Amino acid sequence: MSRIVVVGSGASGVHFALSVLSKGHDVVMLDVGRVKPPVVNPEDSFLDLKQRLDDPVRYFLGADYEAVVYPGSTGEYYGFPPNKSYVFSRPPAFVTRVSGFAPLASFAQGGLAEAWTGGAYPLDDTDLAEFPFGFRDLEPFYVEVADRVGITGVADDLARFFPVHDGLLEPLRLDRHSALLLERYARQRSALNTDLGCYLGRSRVATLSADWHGRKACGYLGRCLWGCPTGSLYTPLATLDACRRFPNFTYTSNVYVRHLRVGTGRHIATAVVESSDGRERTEIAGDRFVLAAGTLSSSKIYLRTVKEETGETIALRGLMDNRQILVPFLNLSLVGRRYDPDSYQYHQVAMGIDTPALRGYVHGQITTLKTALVHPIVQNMPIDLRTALTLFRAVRAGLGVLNVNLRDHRRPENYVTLGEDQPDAPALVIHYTPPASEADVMPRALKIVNTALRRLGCVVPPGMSHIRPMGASVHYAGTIPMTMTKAAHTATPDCQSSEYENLHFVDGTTFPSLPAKNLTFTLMANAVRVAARSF
Amino acid sequence: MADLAANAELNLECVRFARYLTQQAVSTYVLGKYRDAHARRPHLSTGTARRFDRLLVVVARTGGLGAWLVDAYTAVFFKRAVVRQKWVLLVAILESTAPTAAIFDVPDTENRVALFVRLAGRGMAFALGLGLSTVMFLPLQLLLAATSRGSTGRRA
Repeated sequence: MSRIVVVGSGASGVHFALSVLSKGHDVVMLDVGRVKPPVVNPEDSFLDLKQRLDDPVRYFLGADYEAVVYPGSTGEYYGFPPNKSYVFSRPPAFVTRVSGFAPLASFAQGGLAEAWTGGAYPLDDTDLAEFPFGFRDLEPFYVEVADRVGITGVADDLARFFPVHDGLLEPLRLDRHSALLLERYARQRSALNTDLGCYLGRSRVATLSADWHGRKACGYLGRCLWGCPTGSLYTPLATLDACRRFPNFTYTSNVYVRHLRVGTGRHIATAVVESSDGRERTEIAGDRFVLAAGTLSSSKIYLRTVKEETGETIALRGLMDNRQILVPFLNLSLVGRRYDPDSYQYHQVAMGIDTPALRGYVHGQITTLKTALVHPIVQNMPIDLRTALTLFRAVRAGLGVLNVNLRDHRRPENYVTLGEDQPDAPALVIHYTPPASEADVMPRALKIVNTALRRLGCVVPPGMSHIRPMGASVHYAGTIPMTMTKAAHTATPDCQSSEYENLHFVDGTTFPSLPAKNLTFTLMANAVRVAARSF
Repeated sequence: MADLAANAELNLECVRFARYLTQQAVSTYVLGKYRDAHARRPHLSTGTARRFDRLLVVVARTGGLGAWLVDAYTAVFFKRAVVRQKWVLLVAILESTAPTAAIFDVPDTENRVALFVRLAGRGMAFALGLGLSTVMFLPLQLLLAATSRGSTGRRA
């Protein structure tokens, strides 16, 4: 049995670790490991918190009121709440210099998926066309992850885009607005399918509709954004806890991996780590090494490994991310109605668009507004605040947002490399340019979704759609791609490094293309696949 | 003494603004949070604001008509005004705590006709307020900006 050093505790790292632990390998997981704050009042609903917390303003707005969205702010309508700031807290050693890209990186226990919205979509053969395997190869691993995680879904019109695999739980209880959209869709199905190539159905979400492996079913407390208090919405911490129950698992936190030291015969010998504050440095030995720190962090570790070994600063080309467009809408039939605060807060309905005009599948997730802070929206309305508050109360139950995702491909002009200014602590340089076709595809996609929403009884306020900056989706991939033929700085179909034979990658680094669907479920399934095939 | 006076001023401001925005009284908890936010967020202080910004806060503090005119004007011509930031902060505080949070949750009426009439009335009031406030504040804003530039230029 091998001693495997895994870098990172995100979605792919913990699922890989759990698989190889089950096989009897020893695993040492290295992690900065920012710690999640304790859950407050786990039985309380969103509205209960406002009544029962000693200091609810501190909980919702932060100790320094940092969650207040003031007029003129250029950020998103809804940022991450104060209790999730730990997810994006970086160690001083992780510095980026960016161009055309606004990266998010996580050094939290559980990684970025501690702040995800649970979208869990398997890729189909069309999505996997550039991968060295197809859906049937990946399906058993989707099923295995679904069993670990608990994924709700149903075979509906979207099954044409998301293959139906075993192990799906019953869908969550629908909120009224989402139910209304699906009812309208049922009446408009034929026209939407034929005219627009647009299909609606239930989202696949990693949130439990029934108790599962010791975790509780969703309590419909309306607190998803602030962190599910019952653990029903899956995050990788649950799997990290499962790993910790193995005696052959060692979790080492408060360490930042600088690079891997190469021994003889292009074998990685040790991971060179420093304490999170940068004061102490040490080396961790292992037989095999697995990078699971997320595409940006794994790329940086790899770049520094090459630099330490050869003295050469290389660029890893092909960085990808999904362009996202947020399309707010108002369902007119819900104007003047009350919203239901006791509901699942994130998306329950998904939209798939497949039409030649868009040159590939476009994926959307529809989040209807339920519990949420009011002021980020009212402060942005072009009317006086008192009228804005009256208007918001009137339309709240009918508000929603469609998050449109476009796919991406590897292109050589997008790359990561190391900055040359500070050799001992180089910045990660990230350069991204959107594809030229985007200028053509985005307006077409917007036109289609606006028409679709209109047919569903909704209006899209003009000028309110928001094109998120590249990097905002946090679906990064593609810097060391899987290839069938060996090439420099690539990976084999089983995600083994072409340069270092005892090094594997199990995060998005190796994806040769980036479909429009959220990639987290596939990251987890691929990590389990690598564990099954190579360890 | 200066702190006490400043606190009293912020308390009065909070009460007036809350009444204008929500027609509600505020608790001592909300008053404390409003003051605390001003202590932690310097951009909310009128001490460093320009003259026109300070003037808008003074007019808005009078409540009623003054606040209505300032609200309409800043919605279109001066979104980043300090007074608007104070209002947004106050809405954020009020919506985060009971019982004031409930104000933001339910429509004024579920009767659609009555609702549309009310919204139409609000819309017309906004248009009227915008017209009046533009006549009042726009020349003043331009004048104060010009004199401010002039005095800065002379100092330079």
